[in-house]
Amino acid sequence: MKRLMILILCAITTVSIHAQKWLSISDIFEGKVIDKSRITETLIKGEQLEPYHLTSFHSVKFNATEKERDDIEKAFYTDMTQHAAKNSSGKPNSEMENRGGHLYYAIAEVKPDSPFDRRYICYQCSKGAHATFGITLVCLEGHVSLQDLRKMFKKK
Amino acid sequence: MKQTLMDKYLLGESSLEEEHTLCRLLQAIPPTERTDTEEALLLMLSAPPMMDENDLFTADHTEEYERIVHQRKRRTLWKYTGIAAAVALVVSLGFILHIPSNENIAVAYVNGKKVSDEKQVLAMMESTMNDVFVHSDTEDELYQLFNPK
Repeated sequence: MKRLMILILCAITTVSIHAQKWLSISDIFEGKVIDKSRITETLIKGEQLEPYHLTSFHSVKFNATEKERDDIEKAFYTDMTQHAAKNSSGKPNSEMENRGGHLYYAIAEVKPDSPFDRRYICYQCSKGAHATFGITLVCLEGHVSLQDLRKMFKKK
Repeated sequence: MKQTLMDKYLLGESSLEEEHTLCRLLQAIPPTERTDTEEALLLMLSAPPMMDENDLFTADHTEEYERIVHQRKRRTLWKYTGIAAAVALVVSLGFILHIPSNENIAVAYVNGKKVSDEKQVLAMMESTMNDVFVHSDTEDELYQLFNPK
């Protein structure tokens, strides 16, 4: 009886843990917020990512209105704070930059689906023409640190 | 009277009433004064009466039967609940651990148009990541400089 209760509790806990890992920005990647026809999407999984020590890469780029920008910024900020993965000193592994009272650039490590990987979400917003905002969102997973990512991609 | 009742009891001819009387008579004797036979008889008379053979078959055991059946049903129910919980646990763990698939995907959609050329998709990924990490964004600063609010 006691063992069974523990088993049920474990099952409930694991299900709820999984539910918590669902990110708010997932809706944007799935085209539920911005129409897919307005999005430039890149999705890579598997062997091609081995040189980068990544297991998956998913990015979306689009021009957003001010309202859309605000909603996306809010969703990203929620994920960044609520699902933050902490580093060895117990602090969130993230960096961000604000401009004009809005999020301009951010990269944050969030809790991954698999305990063997690390997961990062990136956000960049630049002001475009006609009161639009060019937004880039990236979600990537792999066995790689933030420093390694910077070394690999900061080539300019 | 005591001896007569003892003889009748040993011959198996005593009635229930006589056995009760004999038991009371033997109990009245102080324990130190009882003979071995009296002590043994008292022990036999004090023991709970065995169920009559007829009672064994005519007695109503429905309650006990119901109790055993209910207990078994409950045990079976718990067994199946346990199995269901174990299955739920395994499925949940599967979701969490996200058993890695060997699936290789490299695809891009540019304004709804599919790009499946692996090299092109990887170049798009590198370009995106370079943009993210080199966020000094000179273009943006120039735009703000020449387009004041």
